[in-house]
Amino acid sequence: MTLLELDGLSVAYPAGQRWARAVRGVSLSVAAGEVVGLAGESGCGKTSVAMSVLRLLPRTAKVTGRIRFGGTDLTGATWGELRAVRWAQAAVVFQGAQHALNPMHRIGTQIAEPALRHGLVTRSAAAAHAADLLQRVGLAPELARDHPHQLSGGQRQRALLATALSCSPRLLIADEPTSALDSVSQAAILGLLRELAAERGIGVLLVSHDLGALAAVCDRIAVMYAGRIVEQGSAEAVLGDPAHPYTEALTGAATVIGDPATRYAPRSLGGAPPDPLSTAPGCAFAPRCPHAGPDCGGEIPLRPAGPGRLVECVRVAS
Amino acid sequence: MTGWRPLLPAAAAGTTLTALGLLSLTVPAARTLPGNASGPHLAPPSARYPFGTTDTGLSVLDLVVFGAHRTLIIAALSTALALGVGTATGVLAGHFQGWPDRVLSRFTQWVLVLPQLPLAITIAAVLGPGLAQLSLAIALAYWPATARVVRAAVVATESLPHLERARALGAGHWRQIRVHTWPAVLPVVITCTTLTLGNALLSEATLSFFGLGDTTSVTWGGMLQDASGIGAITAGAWWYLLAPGLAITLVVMVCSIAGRSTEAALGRHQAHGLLLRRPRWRRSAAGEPAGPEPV
Amino acid sequence: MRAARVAGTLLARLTGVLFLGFALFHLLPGDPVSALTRGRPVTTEDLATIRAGFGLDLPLWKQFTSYVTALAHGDLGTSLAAHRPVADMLAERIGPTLLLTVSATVLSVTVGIATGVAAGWRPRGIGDRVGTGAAIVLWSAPTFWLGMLLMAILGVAAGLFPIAGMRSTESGGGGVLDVAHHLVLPCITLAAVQYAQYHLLIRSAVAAERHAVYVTLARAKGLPDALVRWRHAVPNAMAPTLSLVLTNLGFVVSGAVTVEAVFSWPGLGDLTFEALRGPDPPVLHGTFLLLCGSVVTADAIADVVLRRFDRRGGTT
Ligand SMILES: Nc1ncnc2c1ncn2[C@@H]1O[C@H](COP(=O)(O)OP(=O)(O)OP(=O)(O)O)[C@@H](O)[C@H]1O
Ligand code: SF4
Ligand SMILES: [Mg+2]
Repeated sequence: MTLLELDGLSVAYPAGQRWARAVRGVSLSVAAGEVVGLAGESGCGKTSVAMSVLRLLPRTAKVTGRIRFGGTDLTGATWGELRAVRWAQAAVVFQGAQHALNPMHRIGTQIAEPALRHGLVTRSAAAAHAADLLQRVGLAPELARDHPHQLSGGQRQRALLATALSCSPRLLIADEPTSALDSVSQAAILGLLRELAAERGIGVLLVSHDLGALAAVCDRIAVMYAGRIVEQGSAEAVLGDPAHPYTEALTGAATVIGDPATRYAPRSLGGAPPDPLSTAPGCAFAPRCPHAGPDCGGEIPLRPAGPGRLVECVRVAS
Repeated sequence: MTGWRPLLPAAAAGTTLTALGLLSLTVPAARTLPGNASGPHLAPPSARYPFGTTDTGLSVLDLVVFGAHRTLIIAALSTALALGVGTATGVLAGHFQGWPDRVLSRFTQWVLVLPQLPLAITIAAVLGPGLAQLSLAIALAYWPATARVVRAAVVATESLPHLERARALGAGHWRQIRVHTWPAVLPVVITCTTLTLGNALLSEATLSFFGLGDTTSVTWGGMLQDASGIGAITAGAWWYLLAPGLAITLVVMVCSIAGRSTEAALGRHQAHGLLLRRPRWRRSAAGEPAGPEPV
Repeated sequence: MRAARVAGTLLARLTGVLFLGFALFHLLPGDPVSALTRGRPVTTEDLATIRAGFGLDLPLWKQFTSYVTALAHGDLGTSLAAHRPVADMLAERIGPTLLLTVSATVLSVTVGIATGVAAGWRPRGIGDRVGTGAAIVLWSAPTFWLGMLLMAILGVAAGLFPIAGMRSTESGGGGVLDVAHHLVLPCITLAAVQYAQYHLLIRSAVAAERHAVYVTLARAKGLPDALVRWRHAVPNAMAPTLSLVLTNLGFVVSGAVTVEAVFSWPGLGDLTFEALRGPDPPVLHGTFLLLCGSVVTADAIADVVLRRFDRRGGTT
């Protein structure tokens, strides 16, 4: 069953008199029990996609296209409808755990808060609920009494994940949930996500720049470049036999698992991603593409390249 | 730094202030104070006297226009003094660092903590009455705010790479300050000017109310003191208070708006905490201007 | 360690106040006593008494040692007008000043939070324009003028509140309600002057909080807007406000001095006013030392309190 369906989603931020087009027509779906990875270089628009689902982008951002969740259209939802979906149905693990926890409240309070406010636990059961969730993400229940500044970066990231699980959501959007963790903890968290999907049928949209991490848990992977999904398909197919030249470069670059440097500069790739203000036609990857030719400046078709596989490149034969 | 738009209110306020300054300079030349009062005594506003008359039969409006001259001179003089002392202290402390910085900053910090009005009152009282004494008293109470902000701006500017290069190339202190530091610090000084000007006007009025004003000529603060001295409030003669108070409020408001909008245009990191005292809370948090502030 | 440093700074600053007091009344070129009394009806004997009171006829070092010794014994000299020890006069004025400043601070902080939060949460909205406009006007008006206007409108014209003093009877009777009735106008005036700072500060703090990640997270949790605002944004914005309340005492005291003079509220400001009119240099010297000394001390206490709070709340 399809939980989340993005259709032609675009996000633009005001930049002076112009618009920075961070997301440019993304179509993607996540089914129940499925882990979908969203990969791409820093600044390609992954977070913008993730945050647009629950309409959490700043007011100034312009969002177009359709976002359907469990059959309802969230783009036109009222504040009341939206509040009912937020956290009770779909939860987000924010990128940047360092700033996502409120410095004034205790960890336990923050974890139990959504369940309490959505009426899923009583006030007296809130503490036990928080302790339970902390244990689930591999933290000591005693941490519930601490304030965020008393936790390490990795502990905060886990606490954030516990917060996201507070209302047992049907969809979990995890934006770089393991970037502050060492490789052992990283494996544990990824295992937990996998387990949630397999045993509880939760749909997971896992955003990461780390292809190694995605390879370990994802059923499907979508690769983003400059606001567009340039390739998507099953994890084995996309990573094992990349069709798009950008994916090819990324897989070559991602040999060092968990190395944050790869996020900023895929090693086999020269140059830099295009300016989000740019409105140039044609393939955005052309300036860095080893296979670029004159035909790359026109309309680039989205071609099926195998079962469930879509690639946006003129060099790919359908 | 989003272009010139945020500077619009500042420009408008600056123009108003300049016009006011010119007006106050020309008014006394164009007309003398109507010495022999002709109007009715303590009359409420009328077509002839839009803001009423004083107990001696002078038009309150005429007096306010006439008084602008001396009032603004006192404000300008004390602002110039406060800015001179404050800027010099700030630049010296920020540029030389080390022990001069520690000494000057501690001293500045100390004066900043003292309650300004009791300080100004006491200084004005022991100095005795007079335009110069009054201005000096105001300046001595209000220079530290400028000193602190200027120091922070100097420290932030001098940590920039091109200045470090200038230093490495052996530019002398004077040259470094004049060529590199000063142009960057100037906008901050301008913001300080407007805000100090507002404070000086308010202080002039308050000190006059305490009987420490310049009694040799008409000032707005002096008018308010005269009004309260003859019991204008209990007599119900509110109009005697209205015009001078409004004049002060308006000019101070123009100053605040000018200051606030330059501050906004400069960006928080440079001039934050001019109008408001900077809360100690976030002093060392990230995003503050570089450079340690000795505690 | 920290405490020792704060104590050291405090000690240095108090010494500074002491020196300043000495310098202003003993050292100035020319004669501070004749400056103070210029143009006032004072006899030569009076002048001699004042000079002797300050010890101005002694050599400077002797002046200073006797100044410090006297202060150490709590001796601030004798008032010329009241012929009473200055220390006693100061002591009975502290209570009213505290009552006025504390009540006005509570009032202005309360109103400032209410309007500042509304304005900061919706910048450029109607609430912001009205609240911030009012704040800037109040900020720009001279304190004593504001007080006189309130006195003229609410006190004289409407006759709602008494316009002077703290009690209706000289003898000190009248009870709590009577004092509260007298407190209304001075308190509103002093609160109005401080209000601008709190409003503007809370406004900008809340406006900044709106973009904090944890506020977005609170919204994502499906909390209603009021809860996002009051549980998540405002408490974090309170930290700088608390800091301002505690470090702003010099400004508050300056306002209180003025307001007391306008409404004859029998505190230290009113005493300053009387000392200037007298003229009564020993009393002026006393109010100067007490006002500066207490503000410097309060600032040190605020420093300690804030650091404590800082560590607990964490600035991340
Ligand atoms: N609030 C905003 N206002 C203006 N521009 C923004 C805003 N948020 C993001 N952008 C811009 O949109 C583009 C995409 O940002 P986004 O955060 O979605 O990228 P990302 O793929 O999540 O990057 P990262 O891997 O670094 O998290 C970037 O160019 C960024 O500068
Ligand atoms: S369309 Fe052309 S430029 Fe773009 S990825 Fe394919 S080959 Fe490279
Ligand atoms: Mg991101």
